[in-house]
Amino acid sequence: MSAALAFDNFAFSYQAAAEAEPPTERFDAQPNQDGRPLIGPLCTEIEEGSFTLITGATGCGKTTLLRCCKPELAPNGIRTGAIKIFGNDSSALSVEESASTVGFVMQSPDNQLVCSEPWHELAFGLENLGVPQDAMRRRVAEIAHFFGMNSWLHQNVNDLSGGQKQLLALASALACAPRLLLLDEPTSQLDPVAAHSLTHALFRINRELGITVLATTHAPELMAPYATQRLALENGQLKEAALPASKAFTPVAPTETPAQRTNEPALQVRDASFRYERKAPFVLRGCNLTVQKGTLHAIVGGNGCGKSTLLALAAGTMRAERGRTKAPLRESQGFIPQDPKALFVCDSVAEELRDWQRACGYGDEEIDAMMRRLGLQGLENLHPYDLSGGQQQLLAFAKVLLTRPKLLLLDEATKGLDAATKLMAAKLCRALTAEGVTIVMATHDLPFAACVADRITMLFDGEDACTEAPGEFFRNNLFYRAAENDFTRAWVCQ
Amino acid sequence: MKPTAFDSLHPALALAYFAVALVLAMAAPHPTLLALSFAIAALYGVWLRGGRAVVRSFAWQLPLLAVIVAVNPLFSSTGTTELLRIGTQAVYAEGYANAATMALLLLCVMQWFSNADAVLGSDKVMGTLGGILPTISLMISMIMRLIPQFVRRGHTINNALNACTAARNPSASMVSGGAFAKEAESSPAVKEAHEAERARHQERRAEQNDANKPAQRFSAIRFADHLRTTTTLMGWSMENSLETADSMRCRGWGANRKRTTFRRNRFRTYDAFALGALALLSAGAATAAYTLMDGFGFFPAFHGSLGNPLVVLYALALCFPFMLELLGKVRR
Repeated sequence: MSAALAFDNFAFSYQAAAEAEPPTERFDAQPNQDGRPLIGPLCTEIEEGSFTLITGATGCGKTTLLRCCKPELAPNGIRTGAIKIFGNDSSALSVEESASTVGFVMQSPDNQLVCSEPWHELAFGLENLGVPQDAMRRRVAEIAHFFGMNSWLHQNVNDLSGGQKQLLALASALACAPRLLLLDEPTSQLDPVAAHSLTHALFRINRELGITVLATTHAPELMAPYATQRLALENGQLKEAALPASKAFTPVAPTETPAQRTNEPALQVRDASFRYERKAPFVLRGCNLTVQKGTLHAIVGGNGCGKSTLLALAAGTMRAERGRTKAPLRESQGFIPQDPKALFVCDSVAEELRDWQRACGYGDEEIDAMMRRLGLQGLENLHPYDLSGGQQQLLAFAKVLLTRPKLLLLDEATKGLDAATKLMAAKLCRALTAEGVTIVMATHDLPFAACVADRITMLFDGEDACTEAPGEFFRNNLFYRAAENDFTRAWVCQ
Repeated sequence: MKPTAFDSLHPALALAYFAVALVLAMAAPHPTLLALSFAIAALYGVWLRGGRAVVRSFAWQLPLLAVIVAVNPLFSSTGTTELLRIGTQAVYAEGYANAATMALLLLCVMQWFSNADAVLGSDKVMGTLGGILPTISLMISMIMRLIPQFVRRGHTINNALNACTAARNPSASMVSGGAFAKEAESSPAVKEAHEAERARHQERRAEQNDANKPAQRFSAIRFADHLRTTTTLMGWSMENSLETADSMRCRGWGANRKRTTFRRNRFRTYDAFALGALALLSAGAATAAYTLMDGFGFFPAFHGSLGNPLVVLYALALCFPFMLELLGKVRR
């Protein structure tokens, strides 16, 4: 079998490393200080028809590696050796050849969609390539049929769910009929159910259509059953690693911690109903949430079940149409939104952390301590947008924690974090609750919730379906279960 | 968007109809014709967008028109029927009649544009443009997606900042105790003292906030907040549009080929018949407009006729969409 992708002594490093300047390209990876290339030299071949997972720590260069394989996205930097795509040098591919040979799907379902309606999105690439109308209509019809998109082909893209958006991004990449598909953490922003269906779609593409799939991921457990191999990126080298087995994880933590018995609610939402517009359907209908002081409360549920809305009610940024919210800690709360970029205003990490210094009166040494604690040292001079997704999450965490909130509201705070960083975040969360800070987190990350949370509330259809300690919660669940992964193993070990 | 009879026709028909309505109104500013045009536009507006929306649009349009009617005659001092004199400037009744007609014209045009927007939408405009101007039609599609996204992001940023109450401290005097790491290691007693101090401070702050709230609303702090939101929004949107641009380039954007378009609009026999009917009706309306406008004017004195039987043709042409709807009902 021939190689779909071959690295021929390929190495890459950002120019910035040599010139001691921050990188001008805006993604994943920091310059390497010791002069070694960030990636490589690599001599790896990826066989045609394979389904390969690439794993590695936050900011280790997974995204950079993936982008190097797509000529249009190749970052600026020092590049030696070659990448061969189906035998041709990648830098020699024309725009047309590249579009119809290599498909690329990114992390964010929102940003990579271009048009306002799905049919147009599917046709976008074909329109660019000047495909004649009849051939284009046929291709779009085929692809829409393959993914079963007919029912929402004419909806507004902004009204689609995250899972549908990501499926659309995948389908529109496939519409150009690539033979190699590159995906950069395609499931990291999806809820577990949507992530599973996207993974299944990838599986079908790989086995039924014979398209070579190469995906970076922080959660190899999810795709492992379908993948044919896993490569771990470590210190710039790709090493073959074992595919993890998918196993259910049942937390062993005590079902009730002492903190829960204090019986002093730090936050109480009672019988809350909410809708975004007068004629819109209710997002929350009679929802209840009681969070005890000094505990970590996780809110789980599918996309669009009202988790973020409930957090907004708790934070007081939106008011319930009916029902009451009691928040004694309202004046001392911190909130990390789903996209941490919403919190960033400054041009460097250091300035960002000093942003609230005057208002809150924390000292420089506290900033240093916080950066050390969250592993952000060495990034002071980078622009927040130049950090990787996971590092941005940590920066938002640091920025909010410096204000020393008593109530911390987190919306999907663990996305884009590798197992080691997650472990650190988990320890930090427990340390905070031990100090009396109350944490409420909306999350898709069931393994994280299973390990760290004191109580879990499952939201469904705008109501709290159940609230239990993680042990009971996952014991009683039939379908909605946490899977064992690197993080849970590390957590159990420590 | 409400489904209309135009949906099953070639988009050129809807474009042609609204063009006819607008051109007729603008080319023949006759009070009777404009009144008719306005009545039909409002009626169609109620059917398309609902009475509420139409009334709400009047809420801002009418005051605007009142200003035009009140002010315009002061600057055009021609006419014969002098009403009053401001200094050396005479104000004439003809001036008011003319201003009222112009105001009515403006109202008509605004109502027709709102109706056109409700019927055409972006996709129909694109449907007609797509074949000729594929890039512009793509731009429209992208803008349709980006504007709501921009607004939503603005809300997200605002909410995030408002939710971080621990960071919003009006008094900059507070100094919290010790380094974060140090405090974690320090003795429970010290920690308790810190906590107590903090709690006291927060209570004080809460009281201050309550007291300051109304005054704060228009203060510089507010302005700084808005500035901050804008800065964040700009940075964020720019960042995201880089990703969108990457995604476009991945799929062959910028390939040196002529863009083709997916949308196919067939011009069917039924479309041809409808277009023929519209042309006939418009010709009738144009005749009516011509006969009425011939010898019509406000200055120096009012001259011409206020109406003739041909205005029925004018009204009939504007009722074209109602005919289509009726026809659709009958054929079904």
